[in-house]
Amino acid sequence: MNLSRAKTLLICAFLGLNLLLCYHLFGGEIRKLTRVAVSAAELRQTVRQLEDYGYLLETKVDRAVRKSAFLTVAPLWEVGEKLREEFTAAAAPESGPSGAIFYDGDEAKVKLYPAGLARVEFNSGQALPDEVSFSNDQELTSAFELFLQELGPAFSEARLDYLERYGEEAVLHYVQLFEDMPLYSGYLTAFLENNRLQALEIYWLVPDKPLQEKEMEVIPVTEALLKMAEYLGPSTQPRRIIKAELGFYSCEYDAEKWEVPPVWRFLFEDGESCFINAFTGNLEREISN
Amino acid sequence: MIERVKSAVLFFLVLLSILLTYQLWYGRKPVERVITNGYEPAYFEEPKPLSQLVIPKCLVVYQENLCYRIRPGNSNYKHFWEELSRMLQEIDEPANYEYGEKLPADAELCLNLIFDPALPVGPESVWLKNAPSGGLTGMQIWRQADRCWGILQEGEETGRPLLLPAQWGAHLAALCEQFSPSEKSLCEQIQAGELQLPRNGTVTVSAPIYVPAGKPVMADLLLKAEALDGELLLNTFFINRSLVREIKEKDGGLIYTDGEQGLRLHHGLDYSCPRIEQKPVPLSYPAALLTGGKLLCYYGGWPENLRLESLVQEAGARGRQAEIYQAQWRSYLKGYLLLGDAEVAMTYHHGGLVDYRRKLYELHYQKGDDTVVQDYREALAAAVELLAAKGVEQYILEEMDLAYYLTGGPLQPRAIPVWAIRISGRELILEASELIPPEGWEK
Repeated sequence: MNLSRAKTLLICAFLGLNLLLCYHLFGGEIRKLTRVAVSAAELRQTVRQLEDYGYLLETKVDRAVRKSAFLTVAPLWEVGEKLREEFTAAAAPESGPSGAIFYDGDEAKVKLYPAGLARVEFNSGQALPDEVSFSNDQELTSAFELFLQELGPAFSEARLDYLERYGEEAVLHYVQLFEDMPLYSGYLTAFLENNRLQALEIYWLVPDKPLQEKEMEVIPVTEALLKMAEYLGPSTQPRRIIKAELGFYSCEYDAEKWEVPPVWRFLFEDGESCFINAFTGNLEREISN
Repeated sequence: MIERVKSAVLFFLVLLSILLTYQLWYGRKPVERVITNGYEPAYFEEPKPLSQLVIPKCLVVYQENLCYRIRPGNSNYKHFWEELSRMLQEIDEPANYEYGEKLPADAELCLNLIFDPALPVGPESVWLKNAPSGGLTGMQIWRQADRCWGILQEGEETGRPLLLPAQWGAHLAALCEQFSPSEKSLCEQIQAGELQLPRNGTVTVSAPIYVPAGKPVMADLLLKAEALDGELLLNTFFINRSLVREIKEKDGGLIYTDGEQGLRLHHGLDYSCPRIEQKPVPLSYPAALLTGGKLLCYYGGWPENLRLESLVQEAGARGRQAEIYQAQWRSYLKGYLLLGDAEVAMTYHHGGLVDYRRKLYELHYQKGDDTVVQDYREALAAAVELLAAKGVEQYILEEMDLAYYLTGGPLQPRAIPVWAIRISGRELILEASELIPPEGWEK
């Protein structure tokens, strides 16, 4: 055997060895990327079970194996200050109930609550661009988002969750995003009447990126859906679930910082949400509106 | 040229295989293996046996027509109680020792013990194992030379004298003979009836009470908060730590919760687990004591100076008793009860804790020398004046004793001597030197 042939044989042997080592090292990860947490049959069975409870799943669900971790958040205190500067710069602070501080300006009233919630009530409404057709959802949200952009860069992480209409009034519900996942604890709600913004409620958070080592596999969406049905009980009227998403949610705390668990959030057509802890399957909060 | 390329590729593959082998051998563990939280039982200390869960609230030794109250923490207290406890454990069936006659006229009271909570007796207990189930609230030892009689009290009912076995009689007589009292422990028994006070006041004493006599001396004490191992606490309460989230409060407090149970750590601990998984089952008194003691030992431990003060069964629906128990422990400093916001309060059932609050302090050092405090008559007179100012007209004294009261806030905790008085159903605390309510006390 000459040297060239020996080299070729050794190259083949080491190539094989390296492939074997790579398979042992990364095979598991690759398999996980491709495997699903919920099979099509399982999903069909869950849909049937939900229907028995009176819940209709009318949205796509994430069937992949998902991992997540607790998200540490703190209130973004600058939001309140920004709103005060923007709308009631000259107003003097007044004490409100439960430690709240109110600023009563000519244009608006800003209410800052101790836990971090800020509310602006415009005295005669804030005008949105004239060309907006109030009945057109797309135009209405675009015009409002333009207004948000002017308000500050923090709200670029806001995503429209859903829109509610009551005659001449509309309520836009935005949620905060963290790395493309909704952080439901952070929200922005706009109250509109015709083309005028009447009030704004903002509770914004500063999330810390969790360490990858802390990530754990979450429960499949089908398990969360069945837990939801179990907690809410059978519905006499059929209720449509229009969104099923993995995000983060916890109730508000009057605290410095806290950890928010990943949740499966199910949104009903009437605007009600149900949050199921994606690690434990416990109900995080029965109903929020 | 091709040979050179082959050599380079081979060299690269050899290097890569070494690297991958190293990674496989020593590389980091997969995430799942890191976060897997295998259940390892964690607790602070082994549960105490029943014989160590209840100790007398009051232990009085009579000698030469004087009485001396020995307080917890005193070596004599431990010695007397160990011997008496041993005797009660040896005497299985009290009925076998019934004397059947009246006590001899020259027999003298030599020991008096008061149990609150009651000392469990009966088949489930270690004391008087063959007696019917019940709880002793008191025990007196009478003596005539080397013969001793015991009189047991269950609730309001006083039993007939028991002639103690000869060896125990001699042993107890010797113990009393050897006892050398200190002046500090001198006490006086106020008999039930009218008691004249300085400045023409009178109170009615509902039942005999032991009060410190002579010129009692006490000193201010500087305290330090109990330091518990936070990591161990978390492991004790939460089986799967990876599901526990942390909330940092504005006042520096830390809350840990897994959605079902919550633990708050800040100047002590508060724990709550409102959801009861299993239906609670009723427990006998000894079993309730053992369960409470076990939970205390597991979750934080049982410091030496801590005494069980009360154990009650919660009232359930329609006046029936629920299978939930409430226990309270308090610390003793230099033998005196520490009052104020310093206690362990626990609500539990057979399966575990429902609520648990623990805020304990340890003696750091004594501030200054012992000083003489006001005597009980002056304290009673001051209490009566306070109540009179609030429009109370009848004064029925139920209990009074010297104690310590926690003051100074969480940063500089200290204990000041006080008179703790229960009069006409009201709890009064008066600084033992000035006879005024201490700062921060309101009732």
